[in-house]
Amino acid sequence: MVETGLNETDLGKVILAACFVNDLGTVVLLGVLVANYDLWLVLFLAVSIPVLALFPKVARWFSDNMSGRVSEPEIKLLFLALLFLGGLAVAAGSEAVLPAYLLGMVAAGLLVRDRVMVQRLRAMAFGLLTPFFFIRAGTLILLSAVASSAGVIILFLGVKLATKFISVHPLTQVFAFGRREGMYTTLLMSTGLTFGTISALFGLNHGIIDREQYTVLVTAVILSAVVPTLIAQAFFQPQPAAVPAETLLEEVSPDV
Amino acid sequence: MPSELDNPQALAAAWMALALLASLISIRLGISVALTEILFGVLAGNVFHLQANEWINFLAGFGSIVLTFLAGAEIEPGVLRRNLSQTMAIGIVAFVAPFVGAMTFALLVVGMRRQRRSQDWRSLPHPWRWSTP
Repeated sequence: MVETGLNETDLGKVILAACFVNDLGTVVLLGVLVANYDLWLVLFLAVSIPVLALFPKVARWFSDNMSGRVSEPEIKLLFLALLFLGGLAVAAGSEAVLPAYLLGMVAAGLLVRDRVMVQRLRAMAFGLLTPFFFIRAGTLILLSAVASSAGVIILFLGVKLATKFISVHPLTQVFAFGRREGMYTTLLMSTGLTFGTISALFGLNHGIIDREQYTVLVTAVILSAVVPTLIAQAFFQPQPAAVPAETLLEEVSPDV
Repeated sequence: MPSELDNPQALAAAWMALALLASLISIRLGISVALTEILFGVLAGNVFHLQANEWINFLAGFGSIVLTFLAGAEIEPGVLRRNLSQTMAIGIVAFVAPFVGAMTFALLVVGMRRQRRSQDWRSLPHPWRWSTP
């Protein structure tokens, strides 16, 4: 969507902001679902709240005074905050992605100013780190289970698309999006490869689901990323819709 | 594979080769690179029995952290404020409805359920089980 320029339109911005709220729901739920409700959780919250509150100020100071140094102190500061809060979250039985998402939220204003830092982070993330994440997520899928559970996978896909449709589509009409735009919004809100994969891996890592169940869920997530996007781009692309074929399905993150 | 090649650099090279190929195919076909990387992972895991080890798990975990951070940082607070009712309403129902729907489906229809009630079910090795659909 970013590459088609649609993110610069009002509709695109509303879709992105709604995806953001949707993803926030996911990480918060993952964060609280299996957290141990003990002193570590209290400590995690007691440390996270002031760190999240202070991070934008400290990061801004680093950005103003340390930017352009060869030793990249502002990147190290960010990685320190991500790993430190992530470590505390794991100690509390929660998930490291919860503080990461919240840090992203509080740093959003700063990163709008500092696009060079975003470029560097994206280079590190998509050049080195996320390939290991997504390829590993793929290696855990059992092809034998895809075949034996094909029916369940299709049903899960159907449930996801149906629940998204009956919940999002009426709202797009209430907010007076056009028919075409409403359908486009509904279909794009039906995807979510990155957070679906993170959630499934979370379940696998915590022993909540096994490899076969993981296979079913991730395969349904993959299909839910592909099918609605193809339909949205093919039939409901809002006008003007001069979209080069090679930009279909690309996004802010490598997600759709 | 010769044992001399059982070193971190050679292993990382194999993973990076998959990642590069996945990028090229995603650009060529115009599909998300996350998708092609997962599919290459499926192929490598099932056909060549590629497995992660401790440092690969760390890189993957750190990848999910930085990716989540970047996703959180994409928000434009101004847009969220200006369209607050629309974005909140669509975002919340788009999260809650599939969550409730998929959970109900998993519990009631497919038969994925918690094995037994326990005060501290988190300590159970597999608190949920998948029974025959």
